[in-house]
Amino acid sequence: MKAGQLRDVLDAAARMHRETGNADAAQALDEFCSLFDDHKTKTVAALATLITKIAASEVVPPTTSSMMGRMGNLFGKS
Amino acid sequence: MVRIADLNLILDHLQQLYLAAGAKTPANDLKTLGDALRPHANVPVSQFVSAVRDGLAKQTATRAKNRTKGSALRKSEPPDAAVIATHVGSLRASGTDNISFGNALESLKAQKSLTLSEVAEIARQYADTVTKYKSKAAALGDISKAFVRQARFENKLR
Repeated sequence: MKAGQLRDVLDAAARMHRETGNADAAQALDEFCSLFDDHKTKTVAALATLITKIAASEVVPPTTSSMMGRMGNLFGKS
Repeated sequence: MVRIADLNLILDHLQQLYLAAGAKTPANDLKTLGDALRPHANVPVSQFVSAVRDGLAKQTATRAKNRTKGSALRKSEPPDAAVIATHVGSLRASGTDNISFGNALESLKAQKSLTLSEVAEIARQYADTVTKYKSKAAALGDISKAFVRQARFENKLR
């Protein structure tokens, strides 16, 4: 599957979310779709590999405090 | 604020939809994408997208730069016409004499500084071919074959 095809599918999903009143999810999908704009001819698998590599170096991992917060939420202590 | 985990949920639903329809390939692609996103479940989508977009742009720029460098390097070294002419001359001068041809061929093989394009050009001029050689060995092989062909032809005439 090419990234361009997945982009069309996600576009349709975003439209569906917008129509059902879930504007935030639609906005997130639109933003995510924009990643595929310049890479439409790449396969999804190739793009996923690229994203994995880039995300590992560029995306800031969650801090310890945010992780502790999430654990707190899990155990019911907000 | 929508996080990657929420986006993953949407991708999971799409994957299930594809699986239900029997479309295994796109379902697997969505799974691969979902797996790539999973370690960043807690990151907001906008932050993730901007970081990955920057990374992709950097990578594209680096690739374009390397491609330009490579082609510039190739263009800066044209085949040495004088060296080609010398080798073709010594190969032709040997005529059908096996020993002098062997010496000429050995000196050609020994000159390691010759590039593939130069050896290929020597082979084309000596063997009178238009072959696009993929390796030096193939070009040298054609030179030997051309010599044998020429020697046999001259023997027939005797």
